[in-house]
Amino acid sequence: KSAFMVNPEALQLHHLPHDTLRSILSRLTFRESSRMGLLSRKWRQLWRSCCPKLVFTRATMFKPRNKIMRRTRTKFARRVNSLLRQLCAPPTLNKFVVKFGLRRKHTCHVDRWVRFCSESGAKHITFDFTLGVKKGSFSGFADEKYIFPLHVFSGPDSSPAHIKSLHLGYVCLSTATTGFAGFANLKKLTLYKISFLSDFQCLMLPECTALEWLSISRSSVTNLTFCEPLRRLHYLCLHYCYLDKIELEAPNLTSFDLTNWPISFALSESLKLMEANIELLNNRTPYGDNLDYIYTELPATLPHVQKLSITSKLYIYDKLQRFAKTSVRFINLRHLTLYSPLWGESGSVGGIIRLAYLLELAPVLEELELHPYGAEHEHQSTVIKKRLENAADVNGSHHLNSNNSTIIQGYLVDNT
Amino acid sequence: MAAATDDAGDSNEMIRVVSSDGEHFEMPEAAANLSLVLRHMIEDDCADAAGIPLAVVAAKPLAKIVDYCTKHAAKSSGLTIEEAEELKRFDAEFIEVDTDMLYDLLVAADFMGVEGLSKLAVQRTADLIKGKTPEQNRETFGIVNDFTPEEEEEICKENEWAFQITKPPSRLC
Repeated sequence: KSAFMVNPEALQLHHLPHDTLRSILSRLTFRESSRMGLLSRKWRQLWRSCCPKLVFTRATMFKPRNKIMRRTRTKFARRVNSLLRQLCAPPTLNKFVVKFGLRRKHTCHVDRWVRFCSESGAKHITFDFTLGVKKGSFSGFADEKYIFPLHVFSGPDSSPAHIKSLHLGYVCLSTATTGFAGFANLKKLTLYKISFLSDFQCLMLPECTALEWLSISRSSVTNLTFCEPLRRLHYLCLHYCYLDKIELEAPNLTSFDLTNWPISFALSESLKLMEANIELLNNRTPYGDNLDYIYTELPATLPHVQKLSITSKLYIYDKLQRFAKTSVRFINLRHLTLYSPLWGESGSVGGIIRLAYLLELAPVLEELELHPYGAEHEHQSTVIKKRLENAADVNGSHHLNSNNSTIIQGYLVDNT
Repeated sequence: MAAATDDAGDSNEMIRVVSSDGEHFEMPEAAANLSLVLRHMIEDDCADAAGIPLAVVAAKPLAKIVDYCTKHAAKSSGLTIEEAEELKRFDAEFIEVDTDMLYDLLVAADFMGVEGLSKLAVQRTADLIKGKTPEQNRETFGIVNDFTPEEEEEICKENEWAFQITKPPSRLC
């Protein structure tokens, strides 16, 4: 059908209600929806007011497989600026995403985008500047990170009620900025490689009581204490923050993910916690492994967990290694996976036998999985997976089925 | 017995609607209930033998909508996997229409508050746009390029990145 044969009286796409056009555009990728704005004058104008999302990433702003990164940061900033300029007044956005390797020297650009984002009322916001940062544990230099101006999102004395999710990567957050009122309805918060210019816990979490999902990784937090309970929180992930202390009241937490050195933490109010993944970094004593911690602190902190995965090195050097025992138990633990690369003398049976105590620690355990080479060498590891029969007697007492215990000891010794 | 027929009568009752160009249609009450507007009219006792007038919906799209609602109302609750598949096939075939009908359906579904149909038509429109060059989209939707050559050059220059049609690899960052 040629354009010139269209009956001018007939209904056309651009006559449709703005809400309808907006939902059509929101089903397109950002590139596809922006291309619609290049069709005609009418569409340019429509796109300006109906555009549902802005996604500025390497993939959307550059040709695929563009490898030449020279001067791309400036080019990226120029393209984003040019596009935002075309939009005149910010349309109501659902999503605002910037993912690129920008640094503090780009502050004047990014400040403008943050303001635009705030004015657009975007519900889902991402500012992730991780691109170009060394991968892995390197958390970056605080003084090269862009300082994210949280206060831009707050009115004179109101918190931004429309923001549902916020993802920040490789930026600095400052608590010193005044006028930030928190995020009243924020459900999901992800912080990755963030530097904090002052104490984190006072920053925004007391004002984020609607949080359901919180992930903080490779960020400089040492002390995570929440003054107010996070009643809706069901997922918490803390990776490589080198925390010294966690104190949190989250009665509806169901899933907990921690990579840290062994610390005491208070989560015992979380009675609904079903699943936990704990990766323990080396503790600071020479040749000391984390087994004592696993046997005493973990059951005290996570008594109700049903599915638990623990990653921790095991040092074996003595025939008569001792370990701590207390009366605390994992009273509901049914599935336990242990990734524990063995270090030390392979001949030391006594060091390994300590693991048999797990059966006493978890009286209703149904499945135990041991990875003696750790998680990274899965392919060469002999995974010991054992369904335990009748691990607890009917009364659920701490009776240890001697048959199961012998089987596990046998497996452990054979495989090391 | 009389009370029982009354109850049964409620759910089996046919609802009459009248298109903007005066054509009459009938559908079961369960089907009419899929339209928010019709449901409110029925609840307010505005459904009578003369039929509910739909001032902005012409006969052609209305016939399609009655078709859609009747099909979906008959299969609304407790779908088996096969029935769900069948309904999906019905939808796919149902929405294979030209752009004129598509716009009519979009407007009518929006006006009558038939959520499922709105979604279906919106997705169909988006699918028509996807993966095309601006020129192809102009052709599909009968949009006249009214930019001056100078303006067009400037737009192309400013938005050079947007013209890359090839799908970028999803994980670059």
